[in-house]
Amino acid sequence: MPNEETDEQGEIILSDLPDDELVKQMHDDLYDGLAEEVKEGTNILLERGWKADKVLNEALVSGMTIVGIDFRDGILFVPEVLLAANSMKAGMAILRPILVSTGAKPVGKMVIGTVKGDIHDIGKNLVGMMMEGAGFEVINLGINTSVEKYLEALKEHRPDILGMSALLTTTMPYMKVVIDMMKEEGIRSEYIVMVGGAPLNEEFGKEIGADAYCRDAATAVETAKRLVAERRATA
Amino acid sequence: MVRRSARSRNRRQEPAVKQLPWRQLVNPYSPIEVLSTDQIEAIHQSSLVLLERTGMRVLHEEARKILKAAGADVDPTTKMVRFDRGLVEEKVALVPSEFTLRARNPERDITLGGNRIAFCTVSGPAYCTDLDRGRRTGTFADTCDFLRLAQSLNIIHQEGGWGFEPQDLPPETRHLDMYQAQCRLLDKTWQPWALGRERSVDAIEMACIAFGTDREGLAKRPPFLTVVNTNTPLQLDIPMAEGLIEYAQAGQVVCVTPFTLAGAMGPVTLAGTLSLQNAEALAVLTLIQIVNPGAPAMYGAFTSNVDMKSGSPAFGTPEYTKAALASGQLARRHGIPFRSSNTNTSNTVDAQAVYESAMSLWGAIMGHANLVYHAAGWLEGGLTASFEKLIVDAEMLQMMAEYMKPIEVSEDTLALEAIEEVGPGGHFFGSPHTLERYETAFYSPMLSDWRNYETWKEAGSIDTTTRANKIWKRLLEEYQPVPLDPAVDEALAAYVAKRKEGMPAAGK
Ligand code: B1M
Repeated sequence: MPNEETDEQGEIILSDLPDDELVKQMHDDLYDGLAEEVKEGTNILLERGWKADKVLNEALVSGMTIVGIDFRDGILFVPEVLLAANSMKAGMAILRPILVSTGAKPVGKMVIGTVKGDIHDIGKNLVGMMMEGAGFEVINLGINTSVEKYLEALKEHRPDILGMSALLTTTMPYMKVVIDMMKEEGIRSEYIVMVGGAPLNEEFGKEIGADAYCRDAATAVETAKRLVAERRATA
Repeated sequence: MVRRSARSRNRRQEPAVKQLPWRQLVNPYSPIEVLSTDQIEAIHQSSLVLLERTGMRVLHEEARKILKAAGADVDPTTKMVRFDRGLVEEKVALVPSEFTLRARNPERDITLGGNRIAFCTVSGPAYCTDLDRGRRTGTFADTCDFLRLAQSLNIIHQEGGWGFEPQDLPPETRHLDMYQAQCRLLDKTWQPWALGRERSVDAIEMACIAFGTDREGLAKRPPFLTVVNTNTPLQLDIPMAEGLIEYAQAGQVVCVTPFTLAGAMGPVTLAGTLSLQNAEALAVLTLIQIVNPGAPAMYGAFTSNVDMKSGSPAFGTPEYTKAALASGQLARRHGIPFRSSNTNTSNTVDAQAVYESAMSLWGAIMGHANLVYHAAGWLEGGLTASFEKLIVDAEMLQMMAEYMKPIEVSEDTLALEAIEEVGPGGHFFGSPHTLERYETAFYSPMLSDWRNYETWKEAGSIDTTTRANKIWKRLLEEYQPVPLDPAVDEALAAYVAKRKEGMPAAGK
């Protein structure tokens, strides 16, 4: 099971590969959505004395960056990206406790939900999936999310990012209700607020006081990475 | 042969915009059947198993109560409702096979069912676009123009729910202004929204005022048809359930439309997605018939596929067309009037917009849709309504209307004598048979340009979209107001004012 069959090379024994080849192989395995292989590769690198954050960044995150680019460019299919993201998650499950115990910074955490009165969630789920694929921890609140539920989740999970999605022109304004409530409670500056959904645009994002509007899942990942890095740099 | 010249006639005036006269259309052809009777049965049986074994999650508590009282199996914690096939079949059998919608102008009443077909304008987009001003968030003034055009185009039998969103109006009260505008600017039937209880009750109350009747009178002669999507897969959400219960109780037509996007919200196989669509439609139709036995309703189908590389919906695809034809078969199996649509995924009014629309329209026409929703104006997967596309679609719809005039075969039309009279190598331009018929023999286009290349070039090489732009502006200039009785107008305004008390004003 841990070994992959390839036409040219026959069986690959992951543990026989030198570090640089193993990392490359893990990038391929992520691309192919092979969760078991990614888990094994993660464990091997840890056994060889790699630090968890080095495994995360060099083996997993950079592998998923390739997946992200090919998704953005319309080369990969959604189900393939889903498998890749799940493989990433499998590797992350091994790394997360070590990252926490060593005090290393995880990639980031996001709470995401479709706003109250709205049930459109295909796009929001794709964003969640891509964010997980990029190494973020994602707490998905589902659909029809009230301001109370968002705020509770912020308190409980202390994420870096609050993400809101809306597809109806009648529910878009609810995003402002949530942001205003965050201001009222004096917690607005503690979080990055990202919004998205087909009827929104840049201007609307600015108007309601969000940090970013994102037109698609790939942009959401890029924006999230950038904003988290900026915050950490100034923190 | 000497013929008397026709010069005694006055010099002919061409109308600025050539339209067919208003007419309720009948589709004379046998529908295309892409599935055998056995295959349709297999899909239907699969739907029934789905409803019995898994059921639907009904998020609305009152709807669950209603279903439970009628014998459905309800799990209050998971909100799942399972339907016995006996219950489904008994209730669905109550849906009338035909109904008539009442318009302000009785000549604009429409009957849907059997072989009848009607065309309805687009609804729902967040944006609007036209050649002069580009893609933008629309305003109240823009939506009113769109309503005027829906009124002016004879081929449009029904206005679909104000074209696109007037985003300068606050969402809480937007529907009130729009219902008022629909009452004022249209004498055809128009669609109200079912998104939540308030938008539904307001529509019903305002219709009572507009028709000078009460709820009972409104139920006897319903003016409304409204679309309710299920939240595929297997879910009915709260606002849509609230809306459908209100309209069903008031005896108005609910067009139940699962929006089954294969690949995302349904399986990638059309048979599977169709069985899901059918299951959801039957579940909601069952709910409607429990709420109000015999209430008119429609079987709406909106099965398409997503782009598997982005997850976004695609429209007017070959899969879409096949699904429309198969859905027609399912609707006829149940004996329920059928709704389909005219859709495309293009970002602009170009060749893609039109060939995808043409694929959709053929599916609707040959699938024997009784209502073609979004029949004119839809662009960009339903995110944008286009003024030019409205006209391009109107041309296609007029062509479809003419297509649905059957070929007449009689001694007269066989023209045996005329052919013999003209003889080998002759022509028919001057034949008496032609002279008696030429004016109405063929469809005369509103938008197409049939001139030869040089003439077209000399006239400025104007393409279809630019010509469409001129036409909608011309139609707006020539819009004939349909004044409301001032007392009714005042009563409607008073209702709107009262409902707006304490609500956010425009500009927020
Ligand atoms: C946090 O940070 C971020 C960052 C980026 C983010 C983000 C968050 N969220 C999204 N993004 C971005 O990344 C995503 C991935 O690339 C992208 O997400 P998107 O969601 O844009 O893209 C998805 C991958 C694919 N796109 C979609 O999934 C939406 C497609 C359309 C066709 C659509 C669908 C599929 C549905 N619908 Co709805 N639906 C429409 C939509 C028209 C359209 N073409 O957009 C729209 C939005 N719907 C509409 C309507 C009217 C309705 N719908 C309804 C129902 C549904 C379905 C259930 C059938 C289904 C949703 C299923 C589901 N599980 O989500 C009803 C309302 C239900 C409710 N209470 O909310 C109902 C009222 C219809 C009815 N009469 O029943 C219209 C809007 C109306 C308005 N004026 O506001 C509409 C424009 C279609 C139309 N023309 O009618 C980006 O926007």
